[in-house]
Amino acid sequence: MDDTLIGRGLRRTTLPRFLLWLVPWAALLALGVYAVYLCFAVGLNQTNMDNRFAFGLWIYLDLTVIALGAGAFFTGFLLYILKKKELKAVINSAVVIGFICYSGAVGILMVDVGQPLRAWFTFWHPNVHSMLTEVTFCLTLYLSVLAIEYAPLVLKNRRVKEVPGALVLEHQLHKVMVVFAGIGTLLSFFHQGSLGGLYGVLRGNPFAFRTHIGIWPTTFFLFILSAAAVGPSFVLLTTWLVGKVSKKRLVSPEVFQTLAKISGSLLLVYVVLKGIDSLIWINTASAKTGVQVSSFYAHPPFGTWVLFAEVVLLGLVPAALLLSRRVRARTGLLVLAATMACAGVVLNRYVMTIQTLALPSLPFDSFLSYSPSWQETAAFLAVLGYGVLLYSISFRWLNLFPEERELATKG
Amino acid sequence: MKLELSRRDLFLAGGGAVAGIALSPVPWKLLDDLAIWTQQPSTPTPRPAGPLAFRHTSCSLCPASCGLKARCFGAQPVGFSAVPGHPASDGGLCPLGLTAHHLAKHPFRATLPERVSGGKRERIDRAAAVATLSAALAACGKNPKRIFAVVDGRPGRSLSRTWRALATATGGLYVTPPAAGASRSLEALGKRFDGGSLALGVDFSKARRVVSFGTPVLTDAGTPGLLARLRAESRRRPAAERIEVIQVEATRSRGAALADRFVPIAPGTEAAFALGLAHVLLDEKLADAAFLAARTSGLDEFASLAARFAPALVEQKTGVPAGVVTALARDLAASLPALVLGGDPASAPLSAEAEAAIASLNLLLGAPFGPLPVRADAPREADGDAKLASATPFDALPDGSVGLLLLDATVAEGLVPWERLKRALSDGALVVSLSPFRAGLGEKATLLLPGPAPLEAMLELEGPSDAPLSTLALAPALLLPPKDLPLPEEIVREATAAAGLSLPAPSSGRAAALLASKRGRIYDPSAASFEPLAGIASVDALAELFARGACWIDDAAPEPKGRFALLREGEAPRLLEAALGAPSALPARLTTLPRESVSAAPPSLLLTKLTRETTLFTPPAAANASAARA
Amino acid sequence: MHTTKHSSTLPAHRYTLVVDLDRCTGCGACGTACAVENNIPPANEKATERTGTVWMRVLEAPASSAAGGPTTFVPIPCQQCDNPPCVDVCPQRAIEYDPRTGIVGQIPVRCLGCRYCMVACPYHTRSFNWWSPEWPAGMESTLNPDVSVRTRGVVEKCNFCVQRLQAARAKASAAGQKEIDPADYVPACVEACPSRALYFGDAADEKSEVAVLSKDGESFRLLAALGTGPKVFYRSSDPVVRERLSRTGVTRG
Repeated sequence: MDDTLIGRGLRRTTLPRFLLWLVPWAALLALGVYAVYLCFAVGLNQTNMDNRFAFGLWIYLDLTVIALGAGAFFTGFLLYILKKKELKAVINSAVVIGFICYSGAVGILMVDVGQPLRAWFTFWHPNVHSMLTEVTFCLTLYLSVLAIEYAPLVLKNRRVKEVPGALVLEHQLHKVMVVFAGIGTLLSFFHQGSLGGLYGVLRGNPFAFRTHIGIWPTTFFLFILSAAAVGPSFVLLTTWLVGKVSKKRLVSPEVFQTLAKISGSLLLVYVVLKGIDSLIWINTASAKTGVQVSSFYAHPPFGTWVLFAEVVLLGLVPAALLLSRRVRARTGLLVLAATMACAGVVLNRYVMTIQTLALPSLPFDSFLSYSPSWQETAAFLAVLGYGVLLYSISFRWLNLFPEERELATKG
Repeated sequence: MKLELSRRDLFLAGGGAVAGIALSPVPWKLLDDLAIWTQQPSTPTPRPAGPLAFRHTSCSLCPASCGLKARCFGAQPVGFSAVPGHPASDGGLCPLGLTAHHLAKHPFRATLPERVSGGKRERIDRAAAVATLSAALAACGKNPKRIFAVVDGRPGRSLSRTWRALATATGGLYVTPPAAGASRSLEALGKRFDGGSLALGVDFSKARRVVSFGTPVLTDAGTPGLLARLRAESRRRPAAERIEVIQVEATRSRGAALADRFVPIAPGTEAAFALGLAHVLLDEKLADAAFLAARTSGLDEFASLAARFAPALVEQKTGVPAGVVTALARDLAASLPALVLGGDPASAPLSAEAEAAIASLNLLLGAPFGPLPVRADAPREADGDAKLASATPFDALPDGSVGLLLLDATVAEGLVPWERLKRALSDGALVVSLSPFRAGLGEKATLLLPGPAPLEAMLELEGPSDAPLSTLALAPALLLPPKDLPLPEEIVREATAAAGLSLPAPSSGRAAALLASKRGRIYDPSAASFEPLAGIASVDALAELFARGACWIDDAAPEPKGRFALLREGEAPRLLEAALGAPSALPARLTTLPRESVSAAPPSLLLTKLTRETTLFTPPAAANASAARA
Repeated sequence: MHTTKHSSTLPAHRYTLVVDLDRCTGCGACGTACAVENNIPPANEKATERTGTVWMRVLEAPASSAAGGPTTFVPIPCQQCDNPPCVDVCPQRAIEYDPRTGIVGQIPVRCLGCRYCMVACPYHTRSFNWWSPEWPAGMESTLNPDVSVRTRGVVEKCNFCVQRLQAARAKASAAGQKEIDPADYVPACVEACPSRALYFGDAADEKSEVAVLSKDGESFRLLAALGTGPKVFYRSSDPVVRERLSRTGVTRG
């Protein structure tokens, strides 16, 4: 049964070894499911969030995985709209990763809210002024798009193909995929942006608040750019990692080169704009609120090093590395650069979520600290477990890397 | 015309109805209401227990006896507000009073007698309670080491007569606890009057400087919020008219934090500090010479005592810089009228010597009859022919002597500490508490005879003994006690009879005694007006007024003739020794809710808002723990 | 910053609270009366200062001078901003700014519990129901029937006891009057304050006490620089207190 599910010409490990590999991730998922059960049954008192630290690890996780999952929409955009044909090698994998990230984020979000059964109110009583409304609409729709993009992969499986009509459906889907890629891109632009807008609109928080361009704060655009920039890097990273773990060549080196070039260029644009935005913020924030920007960095551990790390160390440096032909030629350095690029965005999302909440606001407030409870951590890790499980299963039984067979016969 | 209905018409009508309903707000509203179903099933739905009505009564939780305006649905109060213009409280209420209606449903509430035997607590029935108590009563008086004692937190009530008669019948003691706040330093002053002991109250409205030796004047003592209100109003007046509070205390208590000036002082050196102030006042001829000449005696002897307390020596003893002592004395003299208050039995007890020194200081500042007016107690029923024991002060309760201790429901643990009570008990003593709560002294008792909770019974409430004028309310009950609640007074009477002792019939003559006095005025909260007591026609009319939540207030007492002794007989050497000797140890201070320490009831669970969900107050347990560590 | 609403767009009634810091003794009567009036449950045994449900929080500000001047207690209810940062962020319109009264209302039955409004509010005046509301057996009978109990998982905050405004309106319309008698609408905290540190009224009426008090030199607003336009004013006769409490907290570091 297992053999007949694996794609023709693909070599996969034995079923028992595969199942053994799944065990720890399944355990992680099970622990997380228990933590989630506690949160539903007993309440959010199971977390270490509180009235002052109302967002915590989970919102940070949502922001991060959605930024990293941006590879799905951006690769789709490059392949279907800009016709970068070489990216066909990674699009399937990017779609699976995107689906994992987005479904994980939506799942965690449903645990994070106090009354998940009322989530549909956002569609029922939408507040068009709220960035969260935009996020909810776009996330839900984009998750549906991702599911549609995932479907052909399943339909092309050897056994599923035998089901009458499956191939026809797959063919039809393939024909309209360009439309979905377009819709997906549009939706993604909006929710990546509105996730950034989430903090940029906080008028009561001079640290997070940013100048608006039209109805959107600058963080709206910076989040789109940064997500687009690290999406390809993350696809590169995961592809490399899957290759290492499965001990196979999955894509030709040119694909890595292309991904790195795209990621590097966008990262450079992002870092320049982020720098300009920071300068504008530094020079205008205090005029409007009487708060010197330096005071935001006077509360350890959040010193100015954070800004430096974000813009230079994990921004400018990886951008330069990714754009260098010599670095791109060496896989080790390439992977390091991609990791740094991802870390930069991970740090940015951390700062936006955690430093925003930790800084004192009222004259007698103090700097706040927060550390997640085991339930929060377990739910967080469950997303990782779920991701590895779904990816492993997809990798085993679906054809994620179209070049794999070719490379295997060649090599 | 003939009406023909085809099937098509029916379909059309049906379809139209469905479309019409869909276009109406009804289905959408119903959809919205689904939100209700996502609520936790345990979420209660508050429902009115009857029509809305407002009723007046008075709060019995602490001696302030504030007026309460209760918002009730049917017989159930759901909230209180203060009564502006009320003689006892003038529109103030504290967190305890605001939650008084929760107490009847407090988790510590007991509604059946409980006995502790062999370390185990068990519920017993009425007959068993009577039997236990009568056996203990019968054993009293046979052994001088196992006497009967009853502690009464609110003396002067009709019920107090029963307790006094019981003390007489058993040959035991009728004990009254110290009053809360600065009463003891006022008593020390009153005892110096040669025309007989004077009762003095505090009138903050007549003072510009208030020096407090640990009395929580801004947080606890007196009418809630009154001094804070007066002080704040004065802040926007010219500097010369401003009221300032100076707190002299060993720790930076809440009152100290709120005071205009806080003078930290070495623990137990209050007497030396007061005598230091007296020294500067006399040395620089700043004392109220006219008052001293007309109203005091023994100035020379006192002056020679005070002369020993030069600011330099006071600095050495108390740790207060000499300059601060001098400046404070000068400021007081320049800002008369001023008054000095000392101590609080619940939070900052002072030695008798410190109280004496404070009394003399008040005389140098000419405080009596001004900011410390003379007051008379509220009229009480005359003893008549009844053989009623007179009051023994709590401090005079002999150690290891009590075999049967009866604690009235009005006794607050803050004023009658369990540690001190335990010392008075002999081995195997029976401790009976009439508290309706399995908490505080009620928890420590070996026989609990729970009575009505606050607001469940009519109560005779005299105002605090340091108020400028005495007040009295016969506060009506708002709630019904539980149906089968055995009334503790009846159990005691039955047990007394069973022990072969006799008690006079219960009296209810307080209203009659008040009416006969013809003193003062009565405030009717529903009309928000005063009426002279002399204008009330009958006891029934007065009782009817009280049943509506009225409160009586006394007239100002005339200034008596006579002099205060600056020093009492043989007091000088004791004062000298205490002030110059080693400082006396102070008991650990508690940071409690306002008035909690002087309340006989546990606080409502809702006060966790203040003790746990905000940093406003440290809960007593945590304060105790930190005191123990320190 | 967003433009602050101009006076032409301000509501017809502007219910305003003025807190006289000189008078506050930090007794906690306001918060207690608020909890009784608004059916706020007793603390869960695990609740802390940061997870409790408190609509009227009294904070202790540091003493005004190093010499140990009096401590200032600062009662902080919802600041009822005219330009509230919370209303716009709610994804499902569970927060409403009433253009007739200026009161910012939270609708608990529509709240999804995402807590975005709590993040948006610089005054930290909101509470999330981390636990189910629970009263000891029998104590439910003391609940105020005019206010519904909020369930676990939703956000709540002060609404200036708007149920009392509704009752005052009902009373006025029953008497055939268009406007309410100001004496009929007093929030529970204001009614309870024993030292009379709280003043409440309609600042749209130029002659009202709150209008006069809020405009004089001793009054200020918390975080006024953020442009949120609170309708809770604080006043102190001490310029040091005024200066310290007008600052933004982050500047201290």
